[in-house]
Amino acid sequence: MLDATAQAMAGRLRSSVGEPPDLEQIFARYVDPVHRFIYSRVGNREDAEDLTSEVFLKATRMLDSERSEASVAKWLFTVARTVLADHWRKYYRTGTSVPLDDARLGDMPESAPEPGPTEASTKLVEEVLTKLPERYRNVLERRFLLGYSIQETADELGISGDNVKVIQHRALAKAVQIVEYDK
Amino acid sequence: MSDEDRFDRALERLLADHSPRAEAAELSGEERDMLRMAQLIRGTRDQRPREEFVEGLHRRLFPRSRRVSRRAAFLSGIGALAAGLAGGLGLDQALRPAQSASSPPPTGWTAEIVDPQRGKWFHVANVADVPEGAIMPFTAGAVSGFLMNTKGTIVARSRMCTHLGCALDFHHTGQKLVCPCHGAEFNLQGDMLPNYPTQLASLPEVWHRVNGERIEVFGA
Repeated sequence: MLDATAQAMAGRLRSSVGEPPDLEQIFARYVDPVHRFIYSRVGNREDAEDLTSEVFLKATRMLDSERSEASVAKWLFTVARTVLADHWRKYYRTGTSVPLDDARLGDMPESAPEPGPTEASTKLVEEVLTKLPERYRNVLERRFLLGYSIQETADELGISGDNVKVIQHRALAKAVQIVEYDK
Repeated sequence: MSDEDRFDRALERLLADHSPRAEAAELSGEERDMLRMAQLIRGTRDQRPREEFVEGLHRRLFPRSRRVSRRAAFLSGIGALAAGLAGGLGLDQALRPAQSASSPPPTGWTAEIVDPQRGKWFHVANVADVPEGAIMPFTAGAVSGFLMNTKGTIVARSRMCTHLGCALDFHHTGQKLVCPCHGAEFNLQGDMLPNYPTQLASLPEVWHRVNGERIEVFGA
């Protein structure tokens, strides 16, 4: 009797868990969203590829075959977040009061690819850029969104290259301040 | 080297899509935050992984696999923000989260891909050879198929009939691929047309990439 109940419960549990996830399928599904999430934080392909690889190498070693797909997605992003945190700690020696940490960036996507993994950082960048003086914004947009060189930025804005460097420096410092004060 | 030079160099590394981590370790705390700010701004650009990277990582993770991760067909996420800005949109319009953030989820294993285990890239055509709407046969070693340009997107699809492997012919008039052996027909998306008594699998895609002007196909 007891056995029958236990078996029935086990059966119910299994059916709610569903099929064990297929790692390759998970990779195919989540490599894009995980890469996009990491890229939105590191802003360069080299780091994004290194860290995305790390996430999936860890995942294939550690994945518990009993997880459902929904929880695998959530877990993958938890791994991604840990990998990012290690990266900042190792190379940026960030302490506890970092203005740009993930806490400030808010949500981590719970299920990918919706909601978009990059929404939080896009929103933050939008806010910050809007609050900057126009001449600061002009330089940051051209340099970091459009990828202009110092000279191209200078030519288009009619200022000197040295001036672009100075403004870019001040603008980034100001942007960090804005994030800090808004915290 | 002065600190300022180091900071500028970190920014240049970032702008070249390289990791600024080595420079970051030498910066002051304030500068590291500024660098991270620059990384965040830059991170709002195109974030899709390169096909070569996904393929390479797939091989590394699943060396024995005969399947290949079929990449998600994400809608144009390419520098949506940057494009908006370049197009002269106001900042707040341009910086709204791109539509691509809510693009359709990847589709798992809806179609197999021809993926030679001992393959290499073959230069099969130039971009200029395949204008919009064009269909062009190619051979990449043992793999042969058709390159098709549909509204600016190039697809490489196997031309081997999934029935018994005869090479399909392209029929201009009906815009379809027809098997010379038993008459099975496929549309340009690779799906079988209902003119044949048995259900046949769709024509698989073949890995391809655009390398500058060159269209390359992964064959064996």
